[in-house]
Amino acid sequence: MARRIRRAAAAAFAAALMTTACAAEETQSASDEIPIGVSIELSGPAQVQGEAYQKALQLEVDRINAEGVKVGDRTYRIKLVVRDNKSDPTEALQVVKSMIDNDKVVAIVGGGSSPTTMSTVDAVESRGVPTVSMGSSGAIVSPPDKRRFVFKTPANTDLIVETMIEEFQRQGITKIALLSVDNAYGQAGLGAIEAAAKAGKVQLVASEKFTDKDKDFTVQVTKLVAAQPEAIVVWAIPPGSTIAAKNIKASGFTGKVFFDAGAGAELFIKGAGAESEGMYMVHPAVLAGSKITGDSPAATVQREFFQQYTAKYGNFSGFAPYAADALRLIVAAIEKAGSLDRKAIRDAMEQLTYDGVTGRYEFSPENHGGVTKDSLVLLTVRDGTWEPAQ
Amino acid sequence: MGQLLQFVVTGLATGATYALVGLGIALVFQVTGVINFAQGHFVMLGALTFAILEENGTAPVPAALMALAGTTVIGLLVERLVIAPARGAHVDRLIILTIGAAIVIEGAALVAFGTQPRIAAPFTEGVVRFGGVRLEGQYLWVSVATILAVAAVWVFLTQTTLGKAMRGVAMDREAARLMGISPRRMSLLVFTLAAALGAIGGVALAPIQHPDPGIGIALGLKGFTAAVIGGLDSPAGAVAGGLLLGVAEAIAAGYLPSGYKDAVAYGVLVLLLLVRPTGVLKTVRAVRV
Amino acid sequence: MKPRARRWAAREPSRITRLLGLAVFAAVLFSVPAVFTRIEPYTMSDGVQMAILAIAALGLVPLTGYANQISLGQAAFYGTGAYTSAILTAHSGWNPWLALLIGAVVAGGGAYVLGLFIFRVSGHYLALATIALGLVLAIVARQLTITGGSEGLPGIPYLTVLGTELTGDVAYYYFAAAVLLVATMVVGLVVRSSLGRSLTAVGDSAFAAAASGIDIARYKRVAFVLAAVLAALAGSLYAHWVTYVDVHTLDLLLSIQMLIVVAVGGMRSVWGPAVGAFVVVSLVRFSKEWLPALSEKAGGQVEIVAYGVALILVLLFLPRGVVGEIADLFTRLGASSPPLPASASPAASAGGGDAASAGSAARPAPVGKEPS
Repeated sequence: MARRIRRAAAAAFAAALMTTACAAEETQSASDEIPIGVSIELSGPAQVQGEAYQKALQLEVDRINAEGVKVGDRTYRIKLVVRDNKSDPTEALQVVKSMIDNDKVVAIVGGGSSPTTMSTVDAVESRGVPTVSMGSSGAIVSPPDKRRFVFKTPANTDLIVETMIEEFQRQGITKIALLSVDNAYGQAGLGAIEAAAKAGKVQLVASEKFTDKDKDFTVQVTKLVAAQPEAIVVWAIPPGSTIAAKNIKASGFTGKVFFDAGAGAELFIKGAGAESEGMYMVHPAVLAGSKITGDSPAATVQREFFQQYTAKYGNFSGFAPYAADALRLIVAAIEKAGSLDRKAIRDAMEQLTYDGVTGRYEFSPENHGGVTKDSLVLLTVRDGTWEPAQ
Repeated sequence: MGQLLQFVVTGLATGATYALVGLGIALVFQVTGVINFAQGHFVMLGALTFAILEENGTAPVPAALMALAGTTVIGLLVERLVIAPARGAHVDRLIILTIGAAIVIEGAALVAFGTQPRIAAPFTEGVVRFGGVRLEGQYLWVSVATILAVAAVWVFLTQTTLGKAMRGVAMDREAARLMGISPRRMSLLVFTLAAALGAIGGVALAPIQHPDPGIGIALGLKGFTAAVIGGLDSPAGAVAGGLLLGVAEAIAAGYLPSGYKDAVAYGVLVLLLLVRPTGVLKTVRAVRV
Repeated sequence: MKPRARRWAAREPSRITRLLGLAVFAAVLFSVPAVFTRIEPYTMSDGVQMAILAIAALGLVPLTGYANQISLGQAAFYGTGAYTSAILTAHSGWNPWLALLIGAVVAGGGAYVLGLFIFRVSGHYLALATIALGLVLAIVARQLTITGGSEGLPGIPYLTVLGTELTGDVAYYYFAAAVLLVATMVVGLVVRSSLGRSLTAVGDSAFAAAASGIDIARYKRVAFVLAAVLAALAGSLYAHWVTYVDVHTLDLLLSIQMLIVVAVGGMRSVWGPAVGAFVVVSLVRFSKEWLPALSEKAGGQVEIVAYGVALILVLLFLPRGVVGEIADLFTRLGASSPPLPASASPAASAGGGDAASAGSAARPAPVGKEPS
């Protein structure tokens, strides 16, 4: 008898879940609001990035709406339609389609990673919705004729590698070894480094990988060090980057260590501790925050963003600028186009030259991707904080 | 060759991790016949709560004790809410139930703590160097924890009445019941014990693992492999299995493209299950019942 | 008692009942678009997902529901189908239907070979072996260039059926639903055939089955191959829907999700996967709607908790799944006389995949550590 009651209860619970929820509200945008979709990783493996994006977007939308967006002779406010894509490509596709078909968004910020962007590319292309992604893979914006509506904010990986190579040449380093994370992010870096090696710009003496579940890379590091490189390049995000730093230092390697832009802000230094001293990272200048010198519009924008973000949230994140810029670019394109027509916005964006938080963007029909190379700087850890290396 | 020695030492160190998890799995299986898919999650809980408490200013020892207590309670709850009601069900259903429990634990930890990996300070700073080999000092603590755990389990199972009762249940459920030993109570006890062991392991592993709620699955799987190598119902065998697995993994990563490192571990598991499910180690195991 | 009433009380479902059940099923399936486009928060994307998930989980009915073999490696075959379709159509421009067929053959062949070895172990060992299998495949897929590594394979073409290119969700849903219908009929035929009876025997008691001369391993293999083929088919459908495939198609969580779907829906019923897929996807959708209201931090994570809780609840309290419990209810309401004795027909207790298949209700769950 008791069993039957429990069974009935379980079934009723399930039924209740389904029926009562049918009363969910519909989201309607007021006529002076511009709906912009946001597809980010608020859960799943990439949640740390997703949360940083969300914080950055909140900061930006408040700032933008304080003045409003001028389209023609009317002033609008931005309404962000934020959806969690769960770091899953299928979910990202669902979310994007829903934002376009149900919420009628004018443009989209997202996905926050390559897989969550790649699955949506066909959908946004066929529906003609300008999309600015925070993913890093080159495939997001290439081939250009199949990516008419897709843009991205992170620098193209080959530009990051070029910056590193310039420093290698400056320091007389010719032999490097690579330690990369075994996912789409790391693979992009691996590809770029291998391409540079093939072009003869540097000699890659060893290359190892680790998965994002791995907690110890001593074996990989031992193999790398045995190949006697002059510098080790690490392409990973925390905690992989911090573990790599510790393992490399523990191995007694005396050469230089270079990280890509994903290594992390304070999280990296906190995790790697004193061992991170003297390590390098290629990153948009904004990470150096208050140490950015100069009064150029770009420097001012970056300093302000760094200060506002840290003031509001307590610490900085290297991921935040990518999302901030995605939104800024869309708004700039809207204002330049003077219209809310998706195609007009896309056309305007392709002619945009913009100084964002991450750096300078110079889009064109052939170039939909990321900041220009001069936006990237080489940073180093000095006295426990990131500083420009020169 | 110096490199090989480094690989072996690193392998033993990571293997101690797997050994700790495998120990709990073998113990539970021995007494209840259930494969506890949530064992890796017990370790995760211990590591995560310890790291979070430390991050918020609690001193290491109280933090460790609190982590231990909390995880043990969870283990108790899992047994009471998930295993006990399913008594008598087909062993396959029980497996799926422990999977469900593992998922709930991971999800709850995600909701409560988020996916951010936590940083716990090593018990003692520094890298141990000997013979051209480098080893992070914390791994010695992990080894100490493993040895203590095995010793404690051995003493418990062989020297205490309660432990002997547990072995009785493992040997023959019906006979034990006829002798007045309650298999249900033993089931509860062994789950609680396994959770406690997992927590101890987790605390020792926290500085190395950078714990986040997602580490449970990988730990659990590696722990199973360790337990299977050792014969699944032998705690000491599981420990030996863990060490073997760690070394095999390290050597594979050392001489093959490192991307296939995990594939080696899981491939070993598949091969073992297909070819020799009763385990590889035939030597007398100290706590074999 | 009159012969006619006796007929209805019998557990052997009549042909008419079966066809009626199928017709109702088809009607429900094809009326989904009309409903989903009108009720928030459902979208046709949900519909397509449900259909694909149901097809993938359908193979678990004979394998796990009848033969009691726990496979947590279905995602391995799902991913195989998805990747095969992706590689052949995106890279090499082959005909998508041919690629789909090849994917199914590869998965089935792989399952056959594996089946030669894997059924030496049972119960918990089997579950572990299938998990490990899926994981190995995921790792390999990340390393090889042909699978696109971690970046995956974009640019998969859309399918063209009867002259129409299936680019929209509604069109794709109809197609997937049609496939689901056919697959359901096929699996229904299987479980009602002598193969199905043998699988039931294997599932109940391997000893008894072996004693009566059944080649246990062979039947398990057949069920395993069938499950693999269905999963691969579902994977190919996924590939042509999302037009992008990456290692997420090989995810362990997907295998667990499929198991949850059959457990919730009813492991011994061919309607089970469809019902289960509907419930699971609905749960996910609704938790997305409400849980943010409950707590800021809630979101995708709580969905994971919901999965685990649903799994536990269902296994403890609804062991025959939603369909099984409903069928049970009908039988209790409908049977006005004691059921026929078991001697009526061994086929009766193996009672097919039908809404009236309360045949499973009579058999108690085997106790203890019986090998399977």
